[in-house]
Amino acid sequence: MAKKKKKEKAPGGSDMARKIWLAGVGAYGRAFSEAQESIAKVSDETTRLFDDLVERGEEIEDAVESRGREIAKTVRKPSFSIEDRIREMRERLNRVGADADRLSAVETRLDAIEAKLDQLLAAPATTRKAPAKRKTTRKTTKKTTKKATR
Amino acid sequence: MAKVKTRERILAASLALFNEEGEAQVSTVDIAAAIDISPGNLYYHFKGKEAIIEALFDDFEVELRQVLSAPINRPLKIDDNWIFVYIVFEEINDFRFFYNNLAGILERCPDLRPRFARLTALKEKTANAVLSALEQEDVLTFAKGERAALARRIAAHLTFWLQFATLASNAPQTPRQMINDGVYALMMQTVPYMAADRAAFAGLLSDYFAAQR
Repeated sequence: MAKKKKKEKAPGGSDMARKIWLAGVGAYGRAFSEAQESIAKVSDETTRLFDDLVERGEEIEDAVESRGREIAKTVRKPSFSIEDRIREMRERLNRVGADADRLSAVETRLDAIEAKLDQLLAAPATTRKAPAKRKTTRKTTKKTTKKATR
Repeated sequence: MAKVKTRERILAASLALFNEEGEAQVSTVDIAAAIDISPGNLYYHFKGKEAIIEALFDDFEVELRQVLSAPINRPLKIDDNWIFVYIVFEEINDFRFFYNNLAGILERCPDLRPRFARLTALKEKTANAVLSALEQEDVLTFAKGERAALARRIAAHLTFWLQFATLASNAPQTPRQMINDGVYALMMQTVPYMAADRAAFAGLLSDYFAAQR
């Protein structure tokens, strides 16, 4: 959780944030599910994992070309795949976003409806061949006025 | 209700065809044929291709707004931020026919212009919120004005990436590749502003994205 106070950080606090940021990407060179789940808790275990991952980052820094690629190849499939993470986060965002953004979404819809209404009121009746079914109110002539479909 | 269902089917088929073939190549007759309804039936639901595009935009707008608003309302977990970038790119990719022909479509559907402008502004606002959160954590550090400038570049990147990637490459790329490359290019833009561990982060990024290819 991005929860650290702005000014009075514990020494090494921002260092930790940076490590998390690094590890976030570094993780997908290897399986990382446990650390993901307890990332907020920052237990000894995760700290160790972070160090591990950051160390890996540093290794790669030394030899991005050879060693980094090599490691990446051997661990192509982390048990907790990026697709899973994307999906899981999407669900979360949709829940949160649905609530928070409901108002502006409604506003936008209203704008759209209003615009369409204007359009419909302004547009002359178009005549066209009617669909064969589901138009119980129409006349039996072939030409039917069709507007206001929604 | 069958009517609602037909409408949804038209929209789904249109989106798929537009994305696949390019909106300009697809006629309403093609769309009707794709889901096996008569052109007249399609016309009953939509009075032309522009009406379909606008209905598709309605859906896209709601969804992208939801996604983009999330980090503005509440900061994400630090390491969720780059996953978030993926999600934004996926959203845009789902609507790529639009992004691939922005000027053309906006000219034919002028009603969408202000709405698209608002979406673009929201992209910038979101980027600013995410960058601020990372700045607060001392992950990134900005001189005066740099953050806003980067947020603006990111908004431009999100808006034009697909077009650029298509133009820049001779070989056709899969959507997955384009998304990956787009996320990578965006993340790399943040590297110069990292407070420390720059080289390590850049290394991890290129390492990770190379493995995705």
